Amino acid sequence: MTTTPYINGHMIEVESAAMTPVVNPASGKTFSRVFMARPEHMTRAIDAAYAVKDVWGNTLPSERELILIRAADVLESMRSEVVDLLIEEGGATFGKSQFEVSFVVGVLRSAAGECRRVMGQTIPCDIPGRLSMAIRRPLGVVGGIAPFNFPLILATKKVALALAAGNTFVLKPSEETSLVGLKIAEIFDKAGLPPGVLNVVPGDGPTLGEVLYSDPRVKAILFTGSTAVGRQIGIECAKRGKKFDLEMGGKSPLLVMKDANLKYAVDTACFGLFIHQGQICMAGSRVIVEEPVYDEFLKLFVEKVKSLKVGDPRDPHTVIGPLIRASQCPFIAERIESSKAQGARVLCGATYDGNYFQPTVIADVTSSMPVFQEELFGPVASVIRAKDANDAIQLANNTRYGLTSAVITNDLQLAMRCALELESGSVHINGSTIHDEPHGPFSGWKDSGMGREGGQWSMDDLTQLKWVTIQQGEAHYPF
Amino acid sequence: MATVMPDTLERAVPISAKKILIDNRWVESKSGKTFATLNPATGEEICQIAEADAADVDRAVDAARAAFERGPWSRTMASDRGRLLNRLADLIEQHADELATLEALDNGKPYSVAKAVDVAATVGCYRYFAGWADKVHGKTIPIDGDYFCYTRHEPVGVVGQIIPWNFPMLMQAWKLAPALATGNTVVMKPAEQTPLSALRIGELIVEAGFPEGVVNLLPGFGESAGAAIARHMDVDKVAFTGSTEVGHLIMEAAAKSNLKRVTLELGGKSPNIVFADTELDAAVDGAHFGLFFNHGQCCCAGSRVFVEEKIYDQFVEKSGARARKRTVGDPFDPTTEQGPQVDQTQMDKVLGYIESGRKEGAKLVCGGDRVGDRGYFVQPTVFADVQDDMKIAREEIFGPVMSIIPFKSIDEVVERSNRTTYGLAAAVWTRDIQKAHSIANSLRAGTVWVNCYNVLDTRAPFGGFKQSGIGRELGEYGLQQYTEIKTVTVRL
Repeated sequence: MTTTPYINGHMIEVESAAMTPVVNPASGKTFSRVFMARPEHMTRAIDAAYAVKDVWGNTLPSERELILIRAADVLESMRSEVVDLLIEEGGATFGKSQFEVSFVVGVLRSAAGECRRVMGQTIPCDIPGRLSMAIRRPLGVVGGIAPFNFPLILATKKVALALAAGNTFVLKPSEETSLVGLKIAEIFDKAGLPPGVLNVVPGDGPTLGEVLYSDPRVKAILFTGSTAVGRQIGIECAKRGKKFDLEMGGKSPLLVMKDANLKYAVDTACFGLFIHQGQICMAGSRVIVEEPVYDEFLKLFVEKVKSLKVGDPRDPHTVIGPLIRASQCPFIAERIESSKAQGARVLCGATYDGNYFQPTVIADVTSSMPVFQEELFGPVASVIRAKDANDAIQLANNTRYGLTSAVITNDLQLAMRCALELESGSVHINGSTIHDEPHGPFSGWKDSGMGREGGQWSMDDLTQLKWVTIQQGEAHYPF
Repeated sequence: MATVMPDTLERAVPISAKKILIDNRWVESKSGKTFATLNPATGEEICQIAEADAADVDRAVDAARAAFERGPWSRTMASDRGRLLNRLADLIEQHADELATLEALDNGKPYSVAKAVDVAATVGCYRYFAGWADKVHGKTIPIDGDYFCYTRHEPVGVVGQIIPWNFPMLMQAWKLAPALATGNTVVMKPAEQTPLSALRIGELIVEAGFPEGVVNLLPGFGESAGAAIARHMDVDKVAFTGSTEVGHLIMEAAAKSNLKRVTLELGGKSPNIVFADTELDAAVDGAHFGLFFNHGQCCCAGSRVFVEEKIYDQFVEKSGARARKRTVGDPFDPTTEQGPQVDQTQMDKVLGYIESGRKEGAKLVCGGDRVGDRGYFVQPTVFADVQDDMKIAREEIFGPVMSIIPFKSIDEVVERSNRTTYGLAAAVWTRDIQKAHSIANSLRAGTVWVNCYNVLDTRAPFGGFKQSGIGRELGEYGLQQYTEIKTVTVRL
């Protein structure tokens, strides 16, 4: 297993005494050790990426494509090992880990297809005899900062699309899922990626992040994480004229309209919130239900939530595993308590033990309560009563966030209205707030994001345009 | 049906453009022949028009070729092409009343419709494609090896265009605007029934400053001038809008001559599917508009109205009542909704279909006859209990004849809707998002409207599946039909 920074095609060597224990969030037991890098390691990683940027940038598209396809095959062949690590280090359930691996195989294959499509344009020119075109060139060194919740997806998406566009990469995985980040290096190494093209440096976020965004050789930062950190990174990048894509927090609404099939609405609400214990930026943590079906929905929802199995993430029947760290639990409980004081009703859950938080349903939530406005990143559904569809849309938009939203209705006009009026980067009609595909434009509005991740939108963000003109004969100048 | 039929049925308008336009000059036909264009409201001659045939087509193609290869047009910058198109749009706007009058007089459509729809959409079409002129981009492509590869989107060359009589001015714009925006030169044959507006716009094209030979207009007949364009060895592309029958001939002629590029906008027998969960009155109005607009003379007319059994009787009753209220008469009366059919041939054909519907056992709900004995007016006609195998349910009538057909289930209506050689348009009326999208995905048609009908926009592509056409008009897709793509690969 790779346990130290992967720089220039190698794991660096460190004293074993310098290694930090890695704890399984479900059992609380140490299962491995990892070296948390220091600033100089990050600089070395940038050195390595910078040294090969031109060579990699000029690599044939078909060669980049082949490596990405091979990486997909390598990951497939390592499925059980990677699933195991996602459970062990990230506290993911068995089902979520399987899903994550399959998704990333798709990300790698989709990114492979982008290599041959880094197209520019030829442009009609107003000067006689001049050929005019806009071509795309790689940025050079790109830095990525990935979160712990989908550590494989959210890091690999950044790496794969950046490599496809001809960039080299320095990845800083989450402190909580460093081994998963290093596993990505291992996968690409086995796929034949030349040394220096991808470097993975685990360690303290603020310390290593600062090295990454401060280095003028790094031309863009791709970040997924909290809004507070994302905003700061955006500011630091802007100060230095660096590009950045931010994918940040959310408080995504699921709107259940009065004509909804309530059983389907309940299933959707459960999937959209409780997968990975609610630790997903897209989690449908606000369930806004139209008045006429409010009570009935709550009854069915609570019934189902109470039936969700909490426990060992390795058990394929488990839905709710541990939160990434125990300190999340009191943070969440405190928000629930203060919302209760304002009149919210807890219908189930709201208790915790260690880093296991019981799946929770809170009813009669109003817009002034913390459980309405704050991202809890835990298994807590805030159910909100809406007077009518207008009220539901208004409530949905009454947040600083705007990552995703979803609506359950068969009413064509209402659905299309929601698609236009909900203030979020995605709107899923008759689906869950959680939906992602490698080739879709993913990110948020408002405090949830800037830039887009996925397919051609990533390729736009990860290349720079150059306007080239070629004059045939001589141009005529006025003097 | 209400009739509005005063004595005049026409409005005085000076008609200056009656000849052939070649190289920006108005000329007689080589043969010296002319033909009469008639006022369909009275059946009387409006004026004589020069009749182009193969010899005139040869002259026009020569002019267009010279303009394309050697004239000022070949050196005109893309942005200047856009400026010329915008200038033409301005001129059309300035002459809106006159052009709407010509259209109503020659085609028979209500003046109010000609002005609000035909002229307005024509202006919009020229302006839209004017905006595209300097934005027709090729690509740079990262191919393997030490090569630099890019594409250029170049004009096809001399383009032959044959346009129909149902929206004469607008169909001229649909064809001319993308062809000119991309730098082609044009040899166009307007329909023999309705040459007036196209020729008047020819005058405005010259006035706008298009160089000689860029747009050449040849009024005449399909068998002579149209066929000559389709088989011409020096025409690079032919674009045709009209019947499927003639579409076959055009394609055959193109194949047998020089393999010129072909785009076709042909007939239709479009299904309009109404579910019981829809807002009934809106669907009745929508179906009425979908069929009777332009007197049923629309290729995308919703001529097979499938109605879910539960609401069938109610729908038939309301549709009959709506059709009976439709005002038929003088195109220049502001209350008129429906003028005459375009000519005697069309009127006779429509009446023939009505007769066949009666004979085959469809239930005549209203209409069914000619209106008066002057001009080519037909009563708005509604048939109920129409069977799929009846002629009126299978063939394109191109007249004010609605067939209402009952259905029971989604799968059944999709299968029956698709059981046609056509595939131009379709519509579905429902409040249910699942039904709307599953039907939209299942219908084999170039356009599907949901809870609306005849919503066309210059920016959205229009064209047919199956025997309703080849290629698309309008939007960026329409523009692509007027360029050849050249790949340039440079060794580094």
